[in-house]
Amino acid sequence: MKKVIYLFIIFYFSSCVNSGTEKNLYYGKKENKCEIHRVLKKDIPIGDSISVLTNYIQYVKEDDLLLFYNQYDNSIYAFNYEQGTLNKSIQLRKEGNNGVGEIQGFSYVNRDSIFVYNYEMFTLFLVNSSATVLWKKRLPMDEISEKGFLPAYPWLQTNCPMVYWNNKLILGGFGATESEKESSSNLPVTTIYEFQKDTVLLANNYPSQYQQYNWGGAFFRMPYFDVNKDNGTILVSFPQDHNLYVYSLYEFIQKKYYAGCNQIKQINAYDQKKGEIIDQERAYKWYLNTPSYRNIHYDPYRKLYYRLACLPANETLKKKYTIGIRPIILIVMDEYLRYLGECVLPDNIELRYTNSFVTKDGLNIQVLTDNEDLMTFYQFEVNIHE
Amino acid sequence: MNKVIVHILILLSLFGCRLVNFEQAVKKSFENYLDSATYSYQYIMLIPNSGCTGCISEAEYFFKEYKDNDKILFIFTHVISKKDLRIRMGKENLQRKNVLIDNDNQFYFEEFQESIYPIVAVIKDKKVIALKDHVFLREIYPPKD
Repeated sequence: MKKVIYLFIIFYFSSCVNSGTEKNLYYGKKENKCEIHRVLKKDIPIGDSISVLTNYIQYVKEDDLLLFYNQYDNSIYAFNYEQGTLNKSIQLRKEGNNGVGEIQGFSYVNRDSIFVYNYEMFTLFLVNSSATVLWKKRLPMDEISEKGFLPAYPWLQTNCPMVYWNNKLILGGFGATESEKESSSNLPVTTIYEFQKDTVLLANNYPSQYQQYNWGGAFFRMPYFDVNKDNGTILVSFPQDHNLYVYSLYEFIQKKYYAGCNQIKQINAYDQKKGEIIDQERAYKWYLNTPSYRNIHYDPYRKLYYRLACLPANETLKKKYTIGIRPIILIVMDEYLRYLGECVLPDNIELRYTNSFVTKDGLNIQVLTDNEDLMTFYQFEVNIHE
Repeated sequence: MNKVIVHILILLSLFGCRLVNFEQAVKKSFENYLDSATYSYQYIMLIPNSGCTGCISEAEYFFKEYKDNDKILFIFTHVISKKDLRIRMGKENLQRKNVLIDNDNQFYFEEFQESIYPIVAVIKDKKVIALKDHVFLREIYPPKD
């Protein structure tokens, strides 16, 4: 009889999947020292041929330009941000000597130097504002991937951009599969491309919970990043990690800083073993009902950092909106990445937080409105109580 | 004893009123619409605007090829941006008689995960007789290349 009981106990425990949890050690313990409020609504008239659902926006501080990629005409539109007027449009050719195919994103440096990236060709092009191709280079990652790496090929969107810094291009990617072969060193998500030497340096592997547990695969694992050009660091925000990872482009080392949300107690992993086929519908449901982190932005005007987090989907918002169905939290940190405070962003507007950027006025987040001939942003500003 | 029976009857009537699955919800919505429609469509293709990206692209590609087929009613639902849809599909194409934009999400059932996929309803005598995967129509109407 004892044997049967032991067998039952062993069977019982072995049949349970340890799906894992990322606990927030500082849950509810941080003091809120700031107030976040909306200061302005910015409307930019975009005409009737540019979609408001662009996936790629870049704000260029030096020229006060806001650039959008419109995939339907393969064009980059540059608007003067302050005035809200169209400054320049660059229609990229898909084929021929100046062909770049369909691009995923770009990095505007100046009128003569615009880097564009074609994901399917895995290729970077340098073009000028007349859309003339000055050079093209395929990212030299094939050889590296043969050495046991599981390459996180660059995937561009506004909150995972391509950033030009000191003759290098910094790009982010993600490991889409929940592979048992993933280790703490074979799936770096940051690609630093030194285009003059045609070499890549890979950095920032997934933290250990990504090797231990299943996080639903695909875009649910997508990290977001920004570059602090003032001190030469890359900041990586993994969706299921309360910390931020800061990589020095000078010292080539990574440091970890707590950057969690006071309202997220823990993040529970998807309850399935790695390597098993994931039921996409079930995983999506889990994802919507699980909190996670998003964009990270450095604010060079105020020396602050902003991190976004999503709480579980909200039934009221589900009925109201098509995409903005999760309450969004804005977490603010000082220049030393010390927690300053957080707030839930307004839910009476449909925030498309994937498109956000910092200007002198504050953090801009796209809002979907009924007038789709305007690209609308709400600007949020932080007041800190010392 | 009578109370128990009454409670059971109440519960049964409550469950009986609920649309318990996606298929029932879709059929009901289509049949309500077909009652007032003046066309005799053989198929209704329901295309959500967000969800399974690859499947939606296939369905939209099919629409571009067979938009002039008056046996098929195309319904675009869960539209995030009407402008984006218009740019992507073409303004004239969306104004066709056999195209409906579901502005009020009458044909979108958020509570069912299946809503993220395009589907095809087979119609006979103004009744939905079957719900099929969107590739079903591809077997009848192959690519025009």
